Amino acid sequence: MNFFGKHYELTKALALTEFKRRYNGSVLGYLWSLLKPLMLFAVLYLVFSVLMSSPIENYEIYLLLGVILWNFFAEGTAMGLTSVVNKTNLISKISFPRILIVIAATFSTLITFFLNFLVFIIFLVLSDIHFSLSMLFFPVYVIAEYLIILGLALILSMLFVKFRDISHIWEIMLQLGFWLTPIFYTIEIVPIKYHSLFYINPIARIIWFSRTIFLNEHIPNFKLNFIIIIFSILIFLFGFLIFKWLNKNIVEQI
Amino acid sequence: MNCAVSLHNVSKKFYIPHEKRTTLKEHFIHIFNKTKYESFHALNNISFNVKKGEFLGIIGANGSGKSTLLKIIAGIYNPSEGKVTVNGKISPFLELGVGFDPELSGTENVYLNGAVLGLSKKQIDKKYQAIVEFAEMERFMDMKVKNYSSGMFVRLAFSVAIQADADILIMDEVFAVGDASFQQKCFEVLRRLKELNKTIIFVSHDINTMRSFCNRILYLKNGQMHMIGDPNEAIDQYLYTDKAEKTPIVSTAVEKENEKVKITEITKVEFIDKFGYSNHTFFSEDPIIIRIHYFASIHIKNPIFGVQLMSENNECLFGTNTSISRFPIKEISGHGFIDFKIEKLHITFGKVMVTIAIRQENDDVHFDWKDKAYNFNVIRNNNNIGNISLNISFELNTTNINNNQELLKQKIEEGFFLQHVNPKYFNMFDETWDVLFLIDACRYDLFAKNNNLINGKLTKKISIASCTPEWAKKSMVNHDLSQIIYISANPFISRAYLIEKEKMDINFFLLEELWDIDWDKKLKTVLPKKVTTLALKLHKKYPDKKLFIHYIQPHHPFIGENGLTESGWEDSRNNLLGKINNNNKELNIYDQLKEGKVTKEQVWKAYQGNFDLILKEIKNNLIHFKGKKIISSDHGDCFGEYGIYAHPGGTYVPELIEVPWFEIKE
Repeated sequence: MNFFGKHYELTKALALTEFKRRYNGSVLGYLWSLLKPLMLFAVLYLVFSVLMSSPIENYEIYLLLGVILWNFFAEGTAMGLTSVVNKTNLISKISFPRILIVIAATFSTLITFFLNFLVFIIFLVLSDIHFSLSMLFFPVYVIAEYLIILGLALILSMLFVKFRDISHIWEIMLQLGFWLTPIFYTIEIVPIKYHSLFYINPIARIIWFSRTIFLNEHIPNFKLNFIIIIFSILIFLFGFLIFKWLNKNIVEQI
Repeated sequence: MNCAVSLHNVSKKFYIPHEKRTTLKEHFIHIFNKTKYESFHALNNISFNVKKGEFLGIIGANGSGKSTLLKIIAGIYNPSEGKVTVNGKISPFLELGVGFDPELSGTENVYLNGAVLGLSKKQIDKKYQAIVEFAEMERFMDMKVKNYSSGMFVRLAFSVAIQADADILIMDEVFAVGDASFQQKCFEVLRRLKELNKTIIFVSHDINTMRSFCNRILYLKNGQMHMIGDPNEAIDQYLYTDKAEKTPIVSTAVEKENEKVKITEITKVEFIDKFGYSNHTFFSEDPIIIRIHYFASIHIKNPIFGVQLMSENNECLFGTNTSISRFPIKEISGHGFIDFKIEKLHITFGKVMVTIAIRQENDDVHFDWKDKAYNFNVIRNNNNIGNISLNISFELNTTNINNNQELLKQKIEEGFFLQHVNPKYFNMFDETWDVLFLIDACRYDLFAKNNNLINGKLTKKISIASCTPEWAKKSMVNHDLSQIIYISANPFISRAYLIEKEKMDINFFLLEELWDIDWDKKLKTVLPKKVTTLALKLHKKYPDKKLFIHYIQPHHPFIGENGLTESGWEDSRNNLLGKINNNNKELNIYDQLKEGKVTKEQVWKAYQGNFDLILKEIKNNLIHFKGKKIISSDHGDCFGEYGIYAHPGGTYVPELIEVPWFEIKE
């Protein structure tokens, strides 16, 4: 904890800079962080609800939650991936824990996520879903997802220094992930024998559980929660160790 | 623990892959052939200690490992071998403006860069103003950094960087910042850091800065420690030995076209430095030998060698030959060389072109003439300006008081002049008069020259002092003034009074301080009319009392027709009234004179204006005053004629204390 206390200011400054920079110079500025997922939502909603009349109840809430959680994951890992290389100038001139760069980059997407979540709440209030205590469990999933993002970003950022192809590969992986995750469809349309395969994907699980607490008004059972929490911690630790191992002579390699 | 930084056998090896593989495809294709690496020893066995509070400079040619060394100390690189120990907080910046984001504004970058340097937001809040002021960037803080000029960028970056609260600072070329005046500020900062006992390790190509600040210099050569120690020695070694090995030893002359076979020719010319090496670069004021190699195919009797040094602008700096310098040569033949020794190179900097010639005595035909065919460079060894370097020294001479205001002030403070005040001085309160018009700062000679308005008998008196407070103190104390009404327009009386309140027992029947009540805000003085009006009123009220009327004129501010403005008295007045508000930027008349903003003629003319004004004022009102009337002055004034401007207390200049004593006849 001491570590984060000491470097809190720097992490915060880096994250805010990252966030400010992303929309700097565009007319709508920060609004883009809201507009991007909302546009995706609008397109999907148009296609699946209006044109194809999806049978899912509360489809807009169902879809929006999926979209913002996926967006968080996609953006977080993509930002984390390029973070170290983008900050070459900084790390080759200043000595400080390099992990902060990855943390800051992913943290800036967390800010975006919160903004998106606010919009989600507006939708939620406008819908006929009532508030339930189970919804308060949501932060647990956000933290779990963040740990997964950070763990992956730590690995990807190091790999990207060595293999620049990673950015393209990851882009394709994210595309694939988008279609293989029940974001705009439900798992029911997938043959049942593939269900377990789908749920290897931790993000799919997080989206599923989040929908459960918001739409079905109950918290998934202890075992499921335990698995996802442990899983996210493990991914983070794994990423952390890989990062620690590879980052030692990284400055010379960039 | 006395060591701030300690390096023990530190080496750094870089592996440079022959073909850099960064894409997966390349990795796949070459999966079976191992990448060939070439190892490169950037640093070899570096060991040294830096004491707390020490300034260590690192010099070396490009690629000698300076930056790598700094990065290892800063913890950016890990050493391949050896150990680095750092005691104390190290400021992690190596370069200015690292972490600056061009897309953000100056303010945002100050906070960002501050965070990078380990400062919290609160700390930056506190220092923000100082940072901006130091950088002189008040107006540009909202501008995006990408729109800054490079000077603005480094200035701001430097200002933030020096705020880092560290014991050890590592700087890589951070002084090449801004213009000359900003650089001076940077040096000021360095001095302050030195006083604060900070440890500084820095790399710079500015040899003179290194020389003046470093306690020791480490000279790196190809990743090895060539030497560490005395700055001058290290710099000499770097400049002379290092450069000498790299530059071609012989400067070959540009041969002229249609080459003839010469009987005697200059084969080559070398410039030898103080270590005996052939070199091209020399420090100013160092010795240099110009070695002229010749070849004479036959015996040449009485040859004369000539050397001429020219600047790049084709100005002749120096020229001589063996004949002028009385170095007769009987005969030369075959190969040989002659040394032209310069003990001290009195050229400050620049390229020096050298012309060499050989001829025979009594013969104008030259055997060989290499016109500006050779050259060497001179580097500054100090920050003097100009093209030539002179052996100079300053000496402060404290016996000569002419034209030396500072000295005068010192003497005044020492009380030197007080002992020399003429014992024959007179005190106007011992004299008999009924109305005394005191005009301020008027010399006898000026009065004698200018007065033709009023009838009377003029004599010369020696005043008791040369300034008003001094005069007031000396003349009023221990005198019975109980029958006198004193109307003063001069704040300095009050000042004297206030300062010496305990000691002074001034017992005027009435003391009217008009400067307080009737101050003219526009002219920043007290108008004569006001003084006279009050005097007449009191005269009527107390007809049996003596009147002592103290005008400010002819002392400036000048309100005659040729009025020059100034506001020196405004400050004095404010001080006395307890308003400390000296934001008055206007120079007083003496300083304006000194700086040439006004001419002496203008001042005299304005003085004359004030003089006429005050005499007219007195003349026009004379009939209203009864009794014996005198015009006099407290002391004289001068406008730099004796090297003194104004009339500082205790000044012993005979003219300054000669005041008029003018008995008015009606």
